[in-house]
Parts: sequence; structure tokens; C-alpha cells
Amino acid sequence: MRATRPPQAVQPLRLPIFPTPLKSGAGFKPEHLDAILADSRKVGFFEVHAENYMGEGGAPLAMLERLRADYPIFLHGVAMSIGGEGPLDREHLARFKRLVRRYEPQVVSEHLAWSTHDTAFYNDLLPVPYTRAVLKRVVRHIDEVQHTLGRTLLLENPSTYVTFNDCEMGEIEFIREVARRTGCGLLLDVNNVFVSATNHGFSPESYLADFPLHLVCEIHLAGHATEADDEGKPLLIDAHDRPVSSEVWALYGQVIATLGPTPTLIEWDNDVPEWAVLKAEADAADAILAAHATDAHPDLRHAG
Amino acid sequence: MITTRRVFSAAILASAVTAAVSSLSVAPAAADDGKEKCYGVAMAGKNDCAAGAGTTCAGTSKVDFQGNSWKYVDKGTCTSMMLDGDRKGSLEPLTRDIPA
Amino acid sequence: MPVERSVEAAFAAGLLDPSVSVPVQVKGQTPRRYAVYRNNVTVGLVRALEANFPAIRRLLGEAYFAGLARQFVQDYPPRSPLLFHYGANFPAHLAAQDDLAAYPYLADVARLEQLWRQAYHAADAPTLAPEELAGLDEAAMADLRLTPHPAFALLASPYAVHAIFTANRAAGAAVADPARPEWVMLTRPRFDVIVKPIPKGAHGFFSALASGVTLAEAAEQGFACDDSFDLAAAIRLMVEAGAFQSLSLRATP
Repeated sequence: MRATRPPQAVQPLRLPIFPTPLKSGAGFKPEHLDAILADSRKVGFFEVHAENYMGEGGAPLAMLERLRADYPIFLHGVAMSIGGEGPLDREHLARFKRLVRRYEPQVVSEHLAWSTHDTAFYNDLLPVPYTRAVLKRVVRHIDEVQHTLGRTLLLENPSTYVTFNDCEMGEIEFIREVARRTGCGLLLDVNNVFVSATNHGFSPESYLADFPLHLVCEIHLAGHATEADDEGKPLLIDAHDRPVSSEVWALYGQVIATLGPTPTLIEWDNDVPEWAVLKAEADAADAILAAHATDAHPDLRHAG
Repeated sequence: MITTRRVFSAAILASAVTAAVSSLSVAPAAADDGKEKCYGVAMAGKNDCAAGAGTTCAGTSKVDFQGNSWKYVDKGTCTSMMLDGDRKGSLEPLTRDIPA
Repeated sequence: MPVERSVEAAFAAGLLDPSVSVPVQVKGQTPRRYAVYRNNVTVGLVRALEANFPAIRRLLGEAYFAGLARQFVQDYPPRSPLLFHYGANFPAHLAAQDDLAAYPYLADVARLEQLWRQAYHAADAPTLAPEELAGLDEAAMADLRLTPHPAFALLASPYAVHAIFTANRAAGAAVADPARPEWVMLTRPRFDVIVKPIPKGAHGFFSALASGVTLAEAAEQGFACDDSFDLAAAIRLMVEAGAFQSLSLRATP
């Protein structure tokens, strides 16, 4: 798999090389480190937000280094603002590159979203209109990221609460075209699909049937909250603050039945529970992965 | 031109350094305690390893009410510190950090 | 006529300003839907300040802090995604609040919280070993200079900033007499930040040493600050706490 092969050896490797974990993993929270190291049953991998490890030194980097000795690390950027109209922040990209060099992550991913406008960083994944002009700049930004890092990037589908008037194509057409032009891989967030489908009234099953699954190298699962929109209809919030919903588990099962075992992350970022609770979610994903261990559709397993 | 007054002779400096260093009976602070604490059980519930704010890729279900009435709400421990003089507990945690 | 604003500019304009209406480019101009983004951004950044200034939050109380923080994020949204550095001008913002004039120590407590995080995330470096000092010739002493450790910082305050900081980072007791001066040193030999109240003379001595002057000149500065300055005790303190990383012997900087 393109996106999960070991990094090019620009310097002698001093970190263990792991095979692609066709298992579940968890979003790493520093408060879980003791429990993780004491746990005799290992998860497949840990994923971290790149930005939280961009300090100069100290405990965060030491903790990540400790974790990296035992586990594959997936590096997930949340602030590159790939969908933004301004140029990429070169300093930020350079910091990202230092992390890739230092920790040799198994997977590097980012979002189809923007988070910076002018000089303000909003710390949220804000939506992009699906137009040809936006497509062009997203392609330009991903090219720059992949060229700078020397790595294939996985792009994650967003969860959205609004749509725009002047869209020139659908989300899947947009994502498919970005992948075609940049050669990037895809990170399929099944909860995001369910959240957006509910919020905008489309069928998540149809979305997944159209989605270019052959480019998917990682899956995200998370819990969402339910609010009401302007007309009193359900408005789902991608809150990552509770267990994965039964609807999302069902969709995930369908995806894995088609795609075969794929690294799957459980995200839990607000009201973070103790490690055992998060681990139980990862176990639930593993049960589905194991049930479909032999289901890999040969046409969908793209070669590297 | 200002000339620095060498009030301190090399001998005085050397004796101060010697006194300081010889009184350090144990290894200085560069021990592994911090690592142990961050990797050890002691970390849980303590703020020693709290890094400050992190990024998020999630939304929130907590609603922030955009009111402007915040200027008149409760002022936390500031008020008790200045007005009540109400010491909610012992002063021991405050004094034990002061070097002897 | 101004150029028509981009979708992104229109979308960004209302994220932190509730008086701005939903961007016209948003389909259906649905306020509750756009409000999800407003809420995510506002709550997310207010939480970032809460995480960065826990002592200030406790001092002000949750509701008052949230209101003040909301105003701050509207006026000064972060300019970097490294949120653990967010709020560098929050201390000055606190100092400028008329409502808080009765609590003049707040800004310095916030400065100490900011310094704490900078120390926590500072680069790793070795600390000066006592043997390095012990091995020096007496003749070399006058030209001795020290390089501060990356995590080293000092704070001088007319208020009991260390006592208030310590009491409010955990659930400590109220500080009875905040209006007394304190001098504070921050170090981080490995991973844990050490916040230590130090004597006035030691503050002057370390401050001078960190600026690159010789040991002799710094010692002079220590005495200039405080007649009762104890040079040997200060040297011991700095070595123990890991304030400096290396030494050099040169007559001029």
C-alpha cells in the first residue's frame, strides 16, 4: 500500500519498522500512557495530532518517542488548512516535516477543510465549497505537502453542517478528482459520512457506494452528538465525545465487507474516558475486521 | 568609559563556587524523576504533565451562550482572597516551597 | 467599491462575531447550522485559554473566566496552531480590565502560567554538572560565563505571584497577603517544570548571568539588588535547579 509503506531511508533508521496494522488503533491521549504501557494486549497503532507535538522538546515529545518504540504511529494534521484560500504556512509545513523525520510515522493524513484565514487560526475544520477554483488550490496545496514531506498524504472526507450555493460538483467527485490529480490516498471517516448524510439529507449507503474505496488506506470512527437544526430536524455534531453509534458501526461493517481489513482509528477527543473504555471501542472494530479478514476484494487492494 | 569594578576577586568567586558545589551531596536536578512521573502512575490526576491547550478535529456539543452579562458573575477565589480572608484550608502547601 | 469578498472571508467574518449575519453563500442561510461552526470555534478557543491559564480560571471563577476569555478570543484569535502558546498577550489583557483593578496580581500570575508552558515545551538540553564548576582553576573564575538552559526563565513581581500560582494550580488555600514582592525562577532539567521562589539578590544575579556577563559582574549585580545576597547559596540553587546548561571562559562576550 502506497501510503503505509515504510518511509524512504534518508537517514539510517533507528526506529522499529512495523507492517501495516490491519487492526484498530486509538487516538493517543497522554493521560492514557501508563495504562497503555501496562496493557498486555496491544492495539494496532496510535494516532496523534501533529500540532500537539510541535513544541521544541520536553514531555510530549518524550512520550511520543516512548510510544513509537512499541507501536506504529499515524500522524494526523489538523491545521494545515489545505482547503484555505491563502498559501500554506511554510513554517508549519517545516515543523510537520521535522515530525515526520523524527518519528517516521506509518501514515500521514490531513483534512479537506480550512482552519486559518488571513492570520487567524480558528481551531476548527471549516467547510470548503466544491468548485473548480477550490479544487485547483487544494490540489496545489496537497502537491506542496507531498513534495515537502516526501510522503503520500491521506486526505480525510469532512463532516459538514452547511453547504454552499455555488457548488460545481459533489463532494465525492471533488475528492476523486483531488486524488486523481495529486496521487494522494484517502482516509475515510465513516462517522463524518453519517453526520454529513444526516445533516444534508442524503443516503450514507449511496455515498459509500460512490466513494473511491480503492484509495482508502485508513478509516476513522467516532461518536457524534445530536442537536436540532433551524427546522427542528436532527443536526449531528461530530463531537468525538461518546461511543461510536450503532448506525456508524453498521456502515463500517459494510465498508469492511467490501474493502477488507483496513487500519481503523477510534477517535475520542472530548470527555475522554479511561483507557479501558476507548480500548473496548477498538476491540469492537477489531471484531468486525476479524470477521471480514478473508473478504478483501482483490480489485480493491491497490498495489504500491 | 565605564570600567566594571571587580569587587569580587577570583579567590572569593572560587570559594563561593567550592562551597556551593561541595554542599551538593546528591546529583543535581537532571535526574530521571520527571520521566518517571510522566510515565508512571503518579502522573494521573496531577498537572505536572499537562501540556496546556491542544488542537481539535472534533466539534463540540457544549453550547456557548453569547450573552454579555458575564461582567457581573461570580469572581472565583479572587474575592475570597481579598475580601473574606477566608482561608479555605491550610497554608502549609504555600509555605513548604519556600527555601530554608 | 470594495472587491467582493470570497466565501472564506465571508465565512470567517462571523465566526467570532455574533453580530455578523450568516454568509449569503451558505445554502438556505441557516443560522443554527452556521452557529455550529461559531460555537465550535468559540468554545474550542475558550477551552484552549482555560487549559493554558488554569490558575487564572480558578481565581476568576468559571463563568467570569469564560466571559473574559470569549472577549479575548474575539479580539485576539490565535495566529498559530500551536495552541499551547496561545494567550501570550492574555496577561496584558487582564491588566487592562477596569473591573479587575482590585486584583492587580492577576497579570503576573498569568505571566507565570505562560512562562510555565514555555518551559514545559522548551528544547531539551543537558544541565550544568557541579563537576564542571568544581574543576575550574581559581584564575579562570573571573571570566566565567554561563549559558542558560532553554527552559530557564525568571519573573519578578510586586505580588506574591508564586504563592498565588501554587495555590491555584491545585485546589490550594487562599493567599492571605498577595501584596508582597516575590522573585521566581523556572527550570526544567528533564520533563517536570520547577517553579521556585528565590531571593531578590539571586534574581538579580541569575538575570545578569543569563544576559551573558561574567560571574564576577553578575555577583556584583546580586549585591546591588540586595545587601544580604548569598553568592554561594545562589550558585548552589542554580546548579541544583538546572538553570544553566554550559559554561565558557572568555574575557569578552
